[in-house]
Amino acid sequence: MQMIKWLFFLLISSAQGLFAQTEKLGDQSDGNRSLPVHRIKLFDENGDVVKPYHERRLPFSTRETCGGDCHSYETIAQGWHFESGFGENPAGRPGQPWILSDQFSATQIPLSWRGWQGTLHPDSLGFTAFEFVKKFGGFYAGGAAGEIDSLHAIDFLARWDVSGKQEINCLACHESNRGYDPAEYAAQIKKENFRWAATAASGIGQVEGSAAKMPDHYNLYDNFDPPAPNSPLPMVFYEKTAFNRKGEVLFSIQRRVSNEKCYACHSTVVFSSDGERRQSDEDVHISAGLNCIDCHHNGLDHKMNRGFAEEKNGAPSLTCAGCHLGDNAAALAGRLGAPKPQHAGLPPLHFEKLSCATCHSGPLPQTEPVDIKTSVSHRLGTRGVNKSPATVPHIQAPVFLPGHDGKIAPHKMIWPAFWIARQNEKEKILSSEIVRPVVLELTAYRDTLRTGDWPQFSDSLLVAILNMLAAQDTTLKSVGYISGGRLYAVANDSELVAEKTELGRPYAWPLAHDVRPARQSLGVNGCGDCHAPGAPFDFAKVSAKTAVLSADSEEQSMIAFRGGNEISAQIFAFTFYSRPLLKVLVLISSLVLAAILALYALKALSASMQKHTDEELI
Amino acid sequence: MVFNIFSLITVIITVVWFFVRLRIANHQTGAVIKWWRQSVKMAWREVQNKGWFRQTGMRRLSYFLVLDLMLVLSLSALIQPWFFQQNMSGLLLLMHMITAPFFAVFLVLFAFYWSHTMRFNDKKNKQSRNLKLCYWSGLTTALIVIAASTIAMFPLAGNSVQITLATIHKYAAVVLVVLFFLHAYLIMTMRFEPAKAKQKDSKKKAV
Repeated sequence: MQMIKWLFFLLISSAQGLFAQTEKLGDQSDGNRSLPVHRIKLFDENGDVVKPYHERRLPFSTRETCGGDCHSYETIAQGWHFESGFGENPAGRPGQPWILSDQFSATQIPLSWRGWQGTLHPDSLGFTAFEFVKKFGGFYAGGAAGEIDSLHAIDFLARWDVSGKQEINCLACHESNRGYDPAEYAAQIKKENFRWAATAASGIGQVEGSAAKMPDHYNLYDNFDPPAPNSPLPMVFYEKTAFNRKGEVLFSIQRRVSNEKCYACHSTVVFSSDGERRQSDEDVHISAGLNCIDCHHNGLDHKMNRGFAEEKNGAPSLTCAGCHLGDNAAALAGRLGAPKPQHAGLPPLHFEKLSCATCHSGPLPQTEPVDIKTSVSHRLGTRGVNKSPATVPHIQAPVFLPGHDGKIAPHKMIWPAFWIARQNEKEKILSSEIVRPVVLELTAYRDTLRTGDWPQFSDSLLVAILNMLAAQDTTLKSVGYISGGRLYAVANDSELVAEKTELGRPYAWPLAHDVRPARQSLGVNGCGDCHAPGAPFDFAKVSAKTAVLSADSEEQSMIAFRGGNEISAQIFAFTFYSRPLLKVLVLISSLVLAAILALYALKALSASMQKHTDEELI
Repeated sequence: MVFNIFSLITVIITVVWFFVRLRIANHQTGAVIKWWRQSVKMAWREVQNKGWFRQTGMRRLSYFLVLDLMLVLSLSALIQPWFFQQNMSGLLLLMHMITAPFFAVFLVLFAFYWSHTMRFNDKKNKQSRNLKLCYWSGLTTALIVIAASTIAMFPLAGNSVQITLATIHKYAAVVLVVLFFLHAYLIMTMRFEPAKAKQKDSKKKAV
């Protein structure tokens, strides 16, 4: 018995010891709400202290510097922004995809590792983690795709050694120093300087050279001659003033991430037809003084609260209803004093059919969805970005579609466009590197005005491109182009045939921002905002964005696009002409009815009183 | 869900009770429907011949129109909750919304023409006390049903009040349906002689 007690004690002690090992210095707050000062030593990827005067100047590693003694890097790596579909987070409702686009081959493909329906898995394109990081890493906060060895294809192992891993870039969100430059980060990623990117962006050091120009056998630790005079070795030159005498650097780390940090990757911009950016107001919550993280917050595991009600790891209190209605029905306001909506005159049925964002968020619906640009898709905020409103990829918003919960919500939407063929009995998506030269050979379109738009394909041109692609590689069968929901293929050598295809179905993901003030929500002018004949909510024209000229005019109403019946919607809309009259009719009727009832009730009362009086007199 | 079950059970019990009572009273359903249709036709003809604003025609027509429109309103309101477990929407909602104002107007006309006859203290009037009670409670319930939906249609009430009003509207409407059947039963028993009794009378006359 004594033995068992000892064994039990040992077990508990060792479990406590293990727990103590996993929890690091900065994992848990002690309750002090002031900001801890981060004057720290930097460590390189080998765990060695970075010395600015050192001969071999390696960039600092966030895994070793931030994750060394202070923060549990592995726990943080499970966060939504980092695990990117490789972790245990449920995919949840569809979100913004990575959009692989190319102007001249008229390609735009929504990609996701999370498996959202309607997106393509990068593997299906033969798109490796290395290519992914190089293409999208400027807007990817690092982690899984950038550093999990098992994801790194053998073909690119040498390149990974040259470029280094893309570790989680803690500074992208938490460094509040104005010198932090996300554009520099994106530029370094483009040069394949993955391990150097965070250091360069932080401003602590300047990075020269490009890993992309280094051969596969380049070794960071050997003496290596530059392959060409204008291709210096990747090297970091630290700002010596950034280091104190102890070799420590002061970071302006903030726990509460500022909105501008989020905007680096999460900006959305609406362009008017003349190309001028609209004087758009901020989200009403931001204007009221809230920060993005007040709703989209997270714990140490960095599993972000995405903000929809059915989210598995989410906090129900941080949804629209959670804040504005709260748990206490009698309370006058919700969380942080959020006004409780009255929705006076709005039939409750609307809350079963519509999400909050339908009336309150996104660009106000117009006769057709507008073109929008997003940070990640259009590389907004990076150097040399094409500012033209027509730049590919073409994303439309708002498109009112049923969301994951069946409620209609405004969505951003993209029509996939890509080239496809059959090879060895399998469908193969042709890369833009194969298609682009063919298109450029057959067209005179060079986009000299830098519109950023894709070329327009006439039927004959498309036939010529498809034929040339098939001729270039005889193993390719049934070469086709998917765009605007249709598959275009060549029949009888010269005839272009088009048929609807599931592969071309548009991918849509719900938008929730910018939230407009209540006075600018749909319905504030009455039912007609959505139910009038021609109201954009039901009758805005939705057309497929495609490079094929002959398909350009195909359009349908918003309600038909989401699978509703346009005729019944039209009838319903026309009733709104007579509704005010009918309302008045019902109101008058009920008043007259009440008067009749009151009159006869009074008469009955009078008769009853008369009867009693008569009886008393008798 | 609660309303769906409540309304389904209430209406089933009411309808079963109605037809069982009619059978006990020896009234044939076919004859009742025939009488109903003839009465509507007669009222319609009377209105057409004598004009819309003449009391005799409109009095009778308003009576039947109110009952017919109520049938339409009930069906449009209850089909989706009962058979599809969802709230009223789409074309049925449209039908309900269009029919409702006409129901309200004809209800006013109905009240206007019939209330005097249905006074409790009218010694000349031979209407049964139960029928009068049914009439006045029906009228009051109808006012509640209409008022609840009318207030909700104007931007006067917020979310929670609207939900309360919608609840009042639908539960009061079920009560109205019950009163409708009760009223119909009382009318049948007053207007009709039992079928068997009629047959016996005709046999006696033949003898």
